[in-house]
Amino acid sequence: MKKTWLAILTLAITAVLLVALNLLSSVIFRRARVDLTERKLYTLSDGTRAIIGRIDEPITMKFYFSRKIADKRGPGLSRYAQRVQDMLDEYKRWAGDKIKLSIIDPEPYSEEEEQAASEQMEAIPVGPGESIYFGLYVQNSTDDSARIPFLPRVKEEFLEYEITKMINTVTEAKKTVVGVVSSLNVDGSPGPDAMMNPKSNKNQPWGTMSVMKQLYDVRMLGTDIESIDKDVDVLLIIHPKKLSDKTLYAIDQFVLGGGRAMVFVDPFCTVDEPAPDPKNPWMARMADRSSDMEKIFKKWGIAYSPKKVVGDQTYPYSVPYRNAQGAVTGSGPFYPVFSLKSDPNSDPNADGDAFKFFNPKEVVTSDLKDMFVGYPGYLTKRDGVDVTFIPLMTSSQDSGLFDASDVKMMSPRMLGEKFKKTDDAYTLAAYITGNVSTAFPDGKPGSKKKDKKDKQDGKKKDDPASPKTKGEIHVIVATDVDMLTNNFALNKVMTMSGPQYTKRNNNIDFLLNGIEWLAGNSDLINLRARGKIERPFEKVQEIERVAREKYQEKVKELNDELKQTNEKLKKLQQNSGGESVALLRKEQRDEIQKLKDKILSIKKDLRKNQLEMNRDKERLGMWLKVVNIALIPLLFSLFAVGLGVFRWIRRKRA
Amino acid sequence: MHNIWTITRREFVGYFITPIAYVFIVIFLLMAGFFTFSIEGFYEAGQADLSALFKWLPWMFLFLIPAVAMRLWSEERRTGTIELLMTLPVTHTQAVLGKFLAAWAFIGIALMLTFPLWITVAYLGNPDNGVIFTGYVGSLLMAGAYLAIGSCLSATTKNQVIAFIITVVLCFALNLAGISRFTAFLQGYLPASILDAIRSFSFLTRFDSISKGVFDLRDFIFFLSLIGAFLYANAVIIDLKKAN
Repeated sequence: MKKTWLAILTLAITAVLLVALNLLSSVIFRRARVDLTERKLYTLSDGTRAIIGRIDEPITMKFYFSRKIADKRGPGLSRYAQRVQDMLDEYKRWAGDKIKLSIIDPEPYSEEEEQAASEQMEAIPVGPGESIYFGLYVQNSTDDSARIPFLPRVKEEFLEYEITKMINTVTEAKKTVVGVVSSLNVDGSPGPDAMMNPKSNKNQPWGTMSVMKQLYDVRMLGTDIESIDKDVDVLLIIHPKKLSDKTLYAIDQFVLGGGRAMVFVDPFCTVDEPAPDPKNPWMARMADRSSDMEKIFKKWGIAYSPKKVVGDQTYPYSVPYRNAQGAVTGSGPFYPVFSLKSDPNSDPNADGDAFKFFNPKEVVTSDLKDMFVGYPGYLTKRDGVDVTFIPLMTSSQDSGLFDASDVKMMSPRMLGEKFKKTDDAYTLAAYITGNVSTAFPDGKPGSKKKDKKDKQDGKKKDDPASPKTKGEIHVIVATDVDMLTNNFALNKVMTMSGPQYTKRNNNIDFLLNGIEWLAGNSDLINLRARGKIERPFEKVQEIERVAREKYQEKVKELNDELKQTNEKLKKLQQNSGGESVALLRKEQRDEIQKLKDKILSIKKDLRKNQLEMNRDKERLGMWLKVVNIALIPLLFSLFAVGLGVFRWIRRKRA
Repeated sequence: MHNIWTITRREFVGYFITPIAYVFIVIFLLMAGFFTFSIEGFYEAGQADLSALFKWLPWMFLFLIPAVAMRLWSEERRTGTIELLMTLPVTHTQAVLGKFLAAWAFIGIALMLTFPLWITVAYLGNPDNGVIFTGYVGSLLMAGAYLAIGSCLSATTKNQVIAFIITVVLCFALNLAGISRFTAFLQGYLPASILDAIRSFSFLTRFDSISKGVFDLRDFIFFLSLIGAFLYANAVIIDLKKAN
């Protein structure tokens, strides 16, 4: 009996020790981890470590999380919050005394809650008298601060980037320097008609520029540039029209030297108004309102046409339709001007690269919800240039192209009729990076003679400022300038102190995100590479690609044939002049039937080819299933049976 | 030490003399393959990792491992061979460890035989091998934990079926502790810190962490301490039953 009680006691003590040990270890051993993932997903990246290394005065980090309230509603948010806290702990572990970290669960009506409010933390109400805080606040010793008022779930992959960016913001001594090159009066300097029209809109600085000036050190560089200063962090080029080779060279060299650039071109910019010619008002309509940097774009691996405008059917702008007399007869969609809206139901963690409107995997666009563009062009990656081309913004798949000349000439109704949608989405903005060559292999334009002479004299170019021929570029190119204008980006409110501008959509956010991301030294840019780790079945993709190529020809042929046949049929039916079928002559009826039959058989062929294309992929899948599910068990069973037989024989012999 | 090794070896070989081991392994592999490919749609999903497999392992182990564990001690007690075992010059601890290690090694072999999946995924794409490696290590640890619990419980009864059932129930409860829907119903009654502690005792939670690709000392301590505690309890129970 005694032994039993002793045993039970022993077991009880063991249980308590087990629980205690684990609870204790969960507190003590928070940092003892080894990250075995290939991309070190759970360790701070080198960029973050470098930026932490640059902290000289200790900074304060506060993590506000209403854990008690959140726990009541299920583990989802709390688990994510735990991951956030784990990551913050990693920062603290790495930074040591440089970062003072506080984890705060603000009680309602407490001092901590007031503090949270003063630091602009956002509280989401979740019940009567209860709200949840889930924000981050960073401050340096001189009261510069940065914050994320409420951490959005969708940004989990970019958490490290956001935290490091905040640290960077409060530790950076100076404001980002943005150099602006523009063929338009973005800064409101007097235009050609300043004398006659001093108060005209053309001579007011763009609202966008005012916003930028509050955040950055903005320098207007003009359009006739010799070279661009090295301390410019981001070069912002807005609507470059026929820039001189001299200026293009300066841009080329700046970017090759590692300078970041954000370029806005446009096939049709509404505010690019030619000087009015009273003798020929019609000319104004047909004037060229496009911008381009072809020489340089070619080298950056970008293909762009200033003659093509993208139209989109999904969220087009609505305009009044007029009849021939000019009276308004109703309203209708105007495809070249449209909105981009993020899909609230889309899953940013979904596989694959396809996205609609905003790229959810890039920091620059992942939190954009609503943008409004006007007569944008589009970009594609040029073959033959080895760059990484990452689309940031696209039109929807219900979009198509217009000729810029048509857009200038035709009425909205006519454009609507002419609109033909292709099933492609067009890239409206992209991030391009890679090692490229200069657009000026002969060096600085205008200095040719001197170089030749130097070569003849055998002089070596030891000059450290010698022209760069190759370099690693980081640029963002967008194909719409209108998005930055007051009409498209801002709402104007007249107040006592003059016009006030408020954001109308995320247009300005796109600009600011782009600038901040590009300006964030290379440490921050490289952080973006972390994101979601896509590991597709490359083998399967290869098979699909090969199959597609094999059948592409055939499918194209069939599709062409189908189109032709359809047209023939249509013509034939039209020629019958609307008479009822019964009155048609027999030959015509036979002809129509023959064509219809042909269409059916072509469609059947297409389907067959489609099936063929998938066949290889499916065959591989089937084969793998068999091997994995059945093979080893089969072999093993054979081995077992063999062993059994072997032993049976042995026994018989004995 | 030598004793433990002897027992381990004897037990391990013993597995492969009877057809039971082969049946077990074949069933395990068939299930693994089936769950991975058909239920989880591994091929269709197109992701080069073994998350499809590791998602189902905890649940497969839930039933398969108690089946291995139940015979560790129950049978010996029933057939009386346990007396024979105890007359040998080995301590109870050594016996318990020996049997446990043999069973663990056996499960390890079964787990290893899923290697074609790793090869398949490496052939199809470019998987993160670090993550897969930690997945296997985590699976092995989790298997050891299930096994230790099962071994201990099988020592409490002569009836293998009862041993099997109570093991499954206990392990099931430990799994449930990590699933939010179940802990949610406890939320109104218990303070958050206790709930957190309960969650941290779930096999699923711990296994999830390890198979992410991170070796956290805390997770190792969890599994190893669990194994240690239950094996110790196992020895205590054997002692007790022998005395009676």
